[in-house]
Amino acid sequence: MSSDNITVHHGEEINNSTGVSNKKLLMWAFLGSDVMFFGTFIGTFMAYRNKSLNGPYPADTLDIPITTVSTFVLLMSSLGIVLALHYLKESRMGLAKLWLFAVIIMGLIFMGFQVYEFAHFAHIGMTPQVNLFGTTFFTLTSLHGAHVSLGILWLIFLLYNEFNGNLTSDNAVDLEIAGLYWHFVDIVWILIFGLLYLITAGDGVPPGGIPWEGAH
Amino acid sequence: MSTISKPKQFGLPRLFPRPMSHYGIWSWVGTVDHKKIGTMYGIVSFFWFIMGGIEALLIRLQLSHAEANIIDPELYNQLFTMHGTTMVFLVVMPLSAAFFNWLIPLQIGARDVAFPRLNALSLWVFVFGSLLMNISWFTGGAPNGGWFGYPPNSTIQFNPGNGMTYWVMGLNVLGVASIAAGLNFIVTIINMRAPGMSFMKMPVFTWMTFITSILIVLALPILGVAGIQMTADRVYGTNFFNSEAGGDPIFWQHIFWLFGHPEVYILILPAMGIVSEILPTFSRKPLFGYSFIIFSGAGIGFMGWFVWSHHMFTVGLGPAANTAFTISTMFIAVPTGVKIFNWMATLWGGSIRLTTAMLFSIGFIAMFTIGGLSGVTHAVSPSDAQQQDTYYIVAHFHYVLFGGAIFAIFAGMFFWWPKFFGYFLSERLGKLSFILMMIGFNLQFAPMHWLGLNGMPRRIYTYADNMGWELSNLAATIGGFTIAIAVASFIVNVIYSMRNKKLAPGDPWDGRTLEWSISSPPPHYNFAKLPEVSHIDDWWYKKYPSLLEGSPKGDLTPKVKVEDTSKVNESDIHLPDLSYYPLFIGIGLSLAALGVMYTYALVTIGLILVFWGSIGWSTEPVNEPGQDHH
Amino acid sequence: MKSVIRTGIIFALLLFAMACSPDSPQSTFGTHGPVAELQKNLFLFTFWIAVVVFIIVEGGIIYLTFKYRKKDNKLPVQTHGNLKLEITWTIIPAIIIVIIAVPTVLAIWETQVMPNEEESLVVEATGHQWWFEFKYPTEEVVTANELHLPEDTDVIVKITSQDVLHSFWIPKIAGKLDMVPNHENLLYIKADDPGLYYGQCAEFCGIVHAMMRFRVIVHTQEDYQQWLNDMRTPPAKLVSGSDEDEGRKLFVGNCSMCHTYDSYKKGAYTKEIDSQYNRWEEWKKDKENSAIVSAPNLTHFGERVTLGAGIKENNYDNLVKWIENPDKIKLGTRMKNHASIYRDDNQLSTEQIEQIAKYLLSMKPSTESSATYNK
Repeated sequence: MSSDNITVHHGEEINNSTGVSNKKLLMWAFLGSDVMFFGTFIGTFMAYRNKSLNGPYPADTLDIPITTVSTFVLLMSSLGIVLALHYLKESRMGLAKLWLFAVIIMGLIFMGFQVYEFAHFAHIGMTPQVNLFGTTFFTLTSLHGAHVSLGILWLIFLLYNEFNGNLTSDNAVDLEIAGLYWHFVDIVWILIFGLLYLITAGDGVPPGGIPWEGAH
Repeated sequence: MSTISKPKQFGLPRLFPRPMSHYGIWSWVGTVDHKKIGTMYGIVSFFWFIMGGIEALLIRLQLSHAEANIIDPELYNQLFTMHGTTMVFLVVMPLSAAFFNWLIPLQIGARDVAFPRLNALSLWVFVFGSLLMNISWFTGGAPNGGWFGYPPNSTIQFNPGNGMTYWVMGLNVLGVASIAAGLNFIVTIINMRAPGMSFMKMPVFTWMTFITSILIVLALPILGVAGIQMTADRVYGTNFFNSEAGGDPIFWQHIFWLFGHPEVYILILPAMGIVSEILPTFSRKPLFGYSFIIFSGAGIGFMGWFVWSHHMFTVGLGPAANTAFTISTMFIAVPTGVKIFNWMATLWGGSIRLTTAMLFSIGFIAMFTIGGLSGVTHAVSPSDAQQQDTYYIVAHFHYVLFGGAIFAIFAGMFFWWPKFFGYFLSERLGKLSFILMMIGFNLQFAPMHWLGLNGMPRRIYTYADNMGWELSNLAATIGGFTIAIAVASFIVNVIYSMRNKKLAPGDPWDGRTLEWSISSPPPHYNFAKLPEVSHIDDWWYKKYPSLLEGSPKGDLTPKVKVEDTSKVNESDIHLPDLSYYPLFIGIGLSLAALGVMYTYALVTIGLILVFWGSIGWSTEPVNEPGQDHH
Repeated sequence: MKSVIRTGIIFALLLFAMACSPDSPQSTFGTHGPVAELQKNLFLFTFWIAVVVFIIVEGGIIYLTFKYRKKDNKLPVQTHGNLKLEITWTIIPAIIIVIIAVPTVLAIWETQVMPNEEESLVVEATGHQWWFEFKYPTEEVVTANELHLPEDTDVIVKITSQDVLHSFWIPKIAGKLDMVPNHENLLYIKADDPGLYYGQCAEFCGIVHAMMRFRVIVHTQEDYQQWLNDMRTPPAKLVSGSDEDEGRKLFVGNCSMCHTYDSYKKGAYTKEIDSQYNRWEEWKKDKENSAIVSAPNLTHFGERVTLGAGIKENNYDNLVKWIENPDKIKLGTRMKNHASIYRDDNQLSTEQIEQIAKYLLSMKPSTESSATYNK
C-alpha cells in the first residue's frame, strides 16, 4: 500500500489531526485487530490443551532445541529491521539495503525451519487431522507462518524499492510500518514459543487418552 | 508529510488502461469516491434487504397456519439460515457502511476517507462475498445450519454438502471487507477531522461510527478465527468442533458469541448515531447531554464484550457463570436507558417538525425501548430458561434490529436523501411507508412475544394445531406482508421522486453539522475550502452565532449561506484517480474462496488476481502523471 | 401517529392477556411444578417493572411529540443538558436493575444447585436425531419419547446428546436445558400434579427439529410404582398364527435390529446401553447407507400415548400410516432413509404392515405375569 492519501492539495490544507501519518495509524489499528485474531487462536490452543483422545501428544513430537534456534533467528531479524530503518533514515543506503536483505534471509531461514518441522511431523504421523493437538498446533503455527511469509514478500518489495530509489529517507515511514508488522509477528511468535512449545512440550497422555505407539 | 511519495517510475504493465472518466459505468466500477462507494453500498445492500425480506415472507407463509405444507423442512432451514445471515451481514452492516461512507468525510470536513482505494476494496469484497454466499442457492442447497452455525449440526459429519461451507467461506470474505472498512474509518476519524474539530466536537453519528469501527476491527477477527476453524473442519478434516475426536461444540458457541455480542452493537450503534442527528435537527435544539450520549455509547461498546454468555444461559455453564453474565447483561441496560432518556429530553421543549425522518426516529425510540425491556426480561436467566430459543427471543431481537436498526436506517434515508442526491423523497409517500411499517411491524412481532411464552420454539417449520399458536402466527404473517407493502411503497417513493424531482437546497432541514454547509448533492471534492470548526454542531452556530451568547429572542435568520461552488477552480483541487485494482482483488478473493470448495485451480487464479491487484495497487500513483485531472 | 401507538399498545396488552391463558399445552404460564412456577413469578416480577417503564417512556414519547409540535418560527430554548437530571436517570435504571438482579441471582442458585442425588430420582435423558431416550439407572428401566415421573418428587435429569445439540424442555414443569454431546448437564425438576404434559426439543437439530417432541406423564406415587413394575413385566403370550404373532415375526425379522422391544427382561437395561452404542457406531461407519441406526426402544409400545416422538396419537390407523411411509408424517426420519423395508426389493405388503401394527399395539404388560426382576 503506497501513498493512498487524499492530502494532495498543492501541499497545503493537509488534514492530519494527530500528526501521525495515516499509514502508521492504519498499521497500529490493524495490529490491534490481529491481536484479537491470534488471541483467539492461542485461546483455542489452550482450551484444547490435554484434550486429545489419541496420540501423538506434545511430548511425543515437539523438539525444543530446534525451535529455540529458529526462534533466535526470528528475534535477531527484529533487531535487523531496527537497524535497516535506522540506516535508511540516515540515508546510509548501503547498510540499509544490507540489513533489510539480512532480515529477509532470516525470515526465510525461520520459514525453512517451519517447513522442516511440518515435514518431520507429517513423517512421524502427526497431521492436522490426527487429533486436537495436531489441529490446534498446525492451524496456529501455519497462520503465523503465513504472516511471516507475507512479511517477507513485503520486505522484498521494499528492498526492490530501495534499489530503484523509490524508498529513501523521505518515505522511511513505509519501512517503519513494515517494521511494526514484523515486530508484531515476532512478539506473537514469542507467545507461541512459550505456550505451544515450552509449556506444552511436557504434555503426555491426558486422562482418558490412548497412549501413542509411534508412526505406523 | 512524509507519506506523500513522488510518482514511482516502477509499475506493473497495465492490462487495461486506467479509467479516468467521471461519467459512465467505469466511473462507478473504478471509483474511489466515498460518495459513489456509499451509493453502491446502499444499492447492493438494499437489494439483499429485499432478498432477505422475501425469505422472511416465505417463512411466514409456511408458519401462517398449523401443519402447513408450503415449504419442506430442508428449504425452510435454508430460508431461516439465509434470512438471518443476509439481514445481519448483507443488510444492516453494509447499509450502515453506506451511511459511514457518505457521511463521515462530510461530517468531519474532509475530501474523502483516509484510504479511498481501500474503501473501494471493502465495497468490492463485500459485493463479491455476498454473491459468493448466495450462489449456494444454485449449487445444491443454501446453508442450512442457522446463522449461528452451531456444531455438531453444522459439521461435515452431520451436514454433508456444500451449504455450510459456502456460509463459512462467505463470512470469511465478508469479514475482510468489514475489517478493511473499520480500519479505514478509524484512521479517517482520528486523522482527517477538520481543523478545530476535537473529539468532543464531533457529530454524534461520527462518534458512533468511530465506536462501531473499533468494535468491527476487534470483533470480526474473532469471527474470522471461528470461520477458519470451521472451514478447516469442513474442508480439511480437522477436529475443532468434531465431538467424536473430543472437539467441543460449546467452544464454538463461546467464540461465536464473543464475536456475536459486540456484533449486536455494531448493528445498533450506527442507528443510534443516525437518530441522534435527526432528533435535534427537527426539534431545533441541541442534543440533550451530548457527552452522556457519547459516553454511554462507548460504555455499551465496552460492556458488550462481557455479556456474550447470555446467549448460552441454557447450555449448562453452571450457576456461577450464569450469575456473572446475568448481572453484566442487566447492567448494559443502564447506558441504553440513558440514551433513551436523553433523546426524550431532546424532544422536551423543542419545536418539533414531524417529517418522515423524524417519525421514523421517534418510531425507533418507541420500538427500541420495547426491545430493550424484553431484553431485560431475558437477562433474568432463570426465566430465560423458559424463553431461550422460543419466539419470545425472535420478538426481542426484531424489536431491536428491525424496530431499531432498520427504522433508523429508513429515518436516515429520508433525512439525508436530499443531501446525497439533491432532491427530496416524497414526504407524503414517506409517511404512508412509516404508518404501514409501524402497523405491519407490530402486527408481525408483538404476537411473537406470547407465542414464545406460549411455548413455541424457534426454527420449527411446522407445529401441531392444538398448541394455541395459530392466531398469533396468522397475525404475524399478515404483519409480515404489511411490512412488504411498506417497503414496496418506499421503492415507489424512490422511483416517483426520481422522476418528479423536487430539488433540494444545500441545507433543507436547517441542519446542524458540516454536511449541510455545502451544496446538495455535494461536489465531488466536498468542500472547496476545508472548514474550521469551533463548536459542536458547528454549522448551526455559524448560522446563528447569537445563540452562543444565550437563548434566542424572536426569529433568527441564518448569518451564513451554503458554500457557493460556482466560482471554484476545480483544477486546484486534486483528488485521487480511479483504480480498478480494488475490483480485481475483490473478485480474486471470492474466486479463491470458491475454489477452496471445488478446485485448487480456482484458488490459484483467485490468488494470482489478488497478488497482481496488490502489486498493481501499491505501485500505481495516486494521480496518473501527465493527465489533466478534471 | 398517536392513534397508531395507542391502538398498538391496547392491541399488545390484549394479546398479552391471551398469552396468560395457561391452557395451551406448552404455555409457560400454566405451571405444574415449583421450578416453572418460580421462573414464571420471576418473569412476571420483571415484566410488571418493564410495564411501568414502558408506560413512562412510550407515554412520554407520545406526550412530548404532540406537546412540542412546531407552532411558530421561534427557536426553542437551547438546552444542552442537565447534569443532575442525567445522573438521576443513570442511577434510577441502575437501582431498578439491582432490584431485579437480587431475586434473579437467588433463583439461579435455587434452581441450578442439585439436591442430594441419593434422595432424588435420577433420570437420564439422551437426545438423538430426532427422538428422546429416557433411562432410569437405579430402576433399570428404559423407554423413549415418554417420560414417566412420580408427583412431588425431586428429580435430577442427567441430560446429554448422542449426536448434535438438542434441548430438553417441559414448559409447564421447568425451563429448558441443552443436550450437548460429551457433556452431562443436570436439571432439577419436580412435578406437582399428575397429568400429561408436553415436551419439545428447543435447540435447532437438523431437518426434523420441528418434529422432535415428547410427552411427560406424571403419576401418583402408587401409579408410578405400578408403571415401573409394568415395565419389567413381559407381555401376554400371542396366539400362534394370529395377526399379532405374524406381525411379531415380521418385526423381529425386519425391525428389531434397531428397535429393542424386550427390555422387560432381567439384565436388558445394560444390554440396551450396549445396543444403542453399537447402533450408533454402526451408523457412523456409513451414514449414507447403513441399515442400522439409533432407534427408540419400543418395549410396551402399546401403552404409549404417541408415535413418532410425540407427533401423532398412537392408534392403529396412525400406526399403519407411519409404517407405510414415515415421511408422510415426519419428513426426514432415519427410519425411512435407512430401514431395509423401504428398499425397493424388500417392501412389505399392506397386510404385513397391518400385522406389524397390530403386534406393536399388543405390546403391553401381561396382567397374568409378574415382574421379571425387582430393584
